[in-house]
Amino acid sequence: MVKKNIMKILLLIITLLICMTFAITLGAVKIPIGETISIVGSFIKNLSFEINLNGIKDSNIFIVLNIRLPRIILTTIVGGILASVGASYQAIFKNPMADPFVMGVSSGAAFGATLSIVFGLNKGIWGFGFTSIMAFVGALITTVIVYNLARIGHKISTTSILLSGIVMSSILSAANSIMMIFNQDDLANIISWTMGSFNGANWNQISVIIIPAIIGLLCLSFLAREMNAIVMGEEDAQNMGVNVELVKKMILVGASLLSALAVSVSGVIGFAGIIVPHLFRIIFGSDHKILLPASVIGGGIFLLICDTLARTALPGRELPVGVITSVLGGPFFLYLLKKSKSKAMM
Amino acid sequence: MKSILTIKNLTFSYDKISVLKDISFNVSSRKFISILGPNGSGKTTLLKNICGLLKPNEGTILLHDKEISNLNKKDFAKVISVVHQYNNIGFSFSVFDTVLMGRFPYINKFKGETKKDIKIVEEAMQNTGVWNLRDKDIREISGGERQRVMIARALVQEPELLILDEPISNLDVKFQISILNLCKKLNEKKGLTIITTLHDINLAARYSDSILLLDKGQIAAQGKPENVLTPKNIEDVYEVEVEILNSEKNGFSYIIPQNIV
Ligand SMILES: Nc1ncnc2c1ncn2[C@@H]1O[C@H](COP(=O)(O)OP(=O)(O)OP(=O)(O)O)[C@@H](O)[C@H]1O
Ligand SMILES: [Mg+2]
Repeated sequence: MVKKNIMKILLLIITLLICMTFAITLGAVKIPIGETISIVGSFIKNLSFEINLNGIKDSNIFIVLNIRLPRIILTTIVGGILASVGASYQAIFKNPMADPFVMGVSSGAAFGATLSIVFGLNKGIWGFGFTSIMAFVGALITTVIVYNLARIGHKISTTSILLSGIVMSSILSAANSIMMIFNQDDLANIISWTMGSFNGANWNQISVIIIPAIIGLLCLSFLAREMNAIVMGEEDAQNMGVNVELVKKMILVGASLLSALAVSVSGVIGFAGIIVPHLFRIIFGSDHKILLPASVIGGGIFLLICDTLARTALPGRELPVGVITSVLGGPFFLYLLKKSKSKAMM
Repeated sequence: MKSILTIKNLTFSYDKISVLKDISFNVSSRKFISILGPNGSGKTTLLKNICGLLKPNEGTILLHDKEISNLNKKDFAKVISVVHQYNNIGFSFSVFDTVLMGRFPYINKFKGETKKDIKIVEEAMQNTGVWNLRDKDIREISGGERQRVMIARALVQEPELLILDEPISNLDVKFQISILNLCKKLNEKKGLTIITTLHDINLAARYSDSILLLDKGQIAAQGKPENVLTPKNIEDVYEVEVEILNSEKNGFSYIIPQNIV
């Protein structure tokens, strides 16, 4: 069992590396795969941006190291976060349709970030950090509101969580757009917040989010056994010795923090947290000890493919990546909703 | 005899609807106790108070002389394990992994499960007759099979007190007997204390050391089966006339409802 799963994870990692390599070669300027590999290879070996390689144009080196590589790494991190956060929300709400977007958490984070920009709190020494804190606060408050709106006694019904999440999400997105318009930002900027974009990804963003992302993902994985028990039913979990209320709160806070991190560098990206965990539940089963790490890698692969489509589908211009994930994820979400209704599950 | 569980003047209500009224009883270690009573009489509610899922409005519940609300969740799970009346699981797990989850209070987060955990799981699954289902998806087995899986999961918690809420309602007659026999064996050989609700009066009489008869949230009678399960008590509580037949073959009494059309 364990060995088979390790093999599957290894296979996923190899797939991710192959996807990353291809993603670097694609774009307005096509860079041959051989060049890509030697540029990235010597970058990893020397850990330096000053690379001279015979026969490779400096402009290609610049594109790979300063534009595509950071974008691809950032996309992978955000995809990994969204998918594993989705899997965690799905565990505590015992609902395969929960994800940071559907729950309104992404929009909450975007709202917090927008507020800080509108009030000019993103400037000066606090800069990026303060926007992130506001994104986190927005995410957390939204989570608490949605959770309490959806709660009837101690139970949270599928319909009410989806409804309150989606409604919160729409309200907050609208508020975001209004604030942006009054802040006289241009339309492209609004869209990149509310529909998600990795245009402008840079190493600086990666260096800010990488450590909290790793800590957050480790914390979630640390609670995998508890998640397993909770999806068995909260009463059963409690009788097995799980401190259900505490664990749920820890996961809510951790997942909100991670969602906020992701949103603060990418804007709102919908449905990425639903497709990947669902697919892996079919392949691996629901054991979160495997599901969570698999979702991190799989989410990276998924978002990387979506973002590559977003920047190469139309010549000369870019689609918001959230449009691609919604086009793929929306129908999938409806399919799950239909299936869960017909099976009357949960 | 040492008592494992002491309940004093327990009163409980859901919101404002009073369900349990002034319940007091004592469970001695190593006993097999059955709780009987009509639908809605408060059996499940009483069990949920005992296992800490519901908080009494008044009264105390002592486990080995300690108030249960003061116990840490993992320690509690090592003493009491529970099989609930209803369960529906929407997520895919193998039967084996489901039973293994019962080891939660013992498993160290950093080391993971040990060989000993695996051995205990296998033994419990053999005893409940679900070992051959180990690789199946928990959502794709029958209700009775799932009931036995849940019992196996409760057993791997290695409790001193096993609480079962209608453990045999979903089972065919072979597994009704085999589950009750298993409980009795664990009760006699390993000294496991058992509190179970049952709807089958005759089986309750055969297996229990002591019976608690509930009626509208109050204790109507408690004590030895032959003293509690009298025609008068049964008629008072269930509103059904019964007759007691004595089997000449094995000397046991059987309770037979009258007024059958
Ligand atoms: N969650 C709840 N909220 C409000 N009332 C409840 C709840 N659960 C049970 N009740 C009520 O409490 C009373 C006792 O219910 P309980 O489930 O304890 O009965 P029971 O003896 O286990 O019945 P059964 O034999 O059908 O399992 C019933 O009148 C029931 O309607
Ligand atoms: Mg009941």
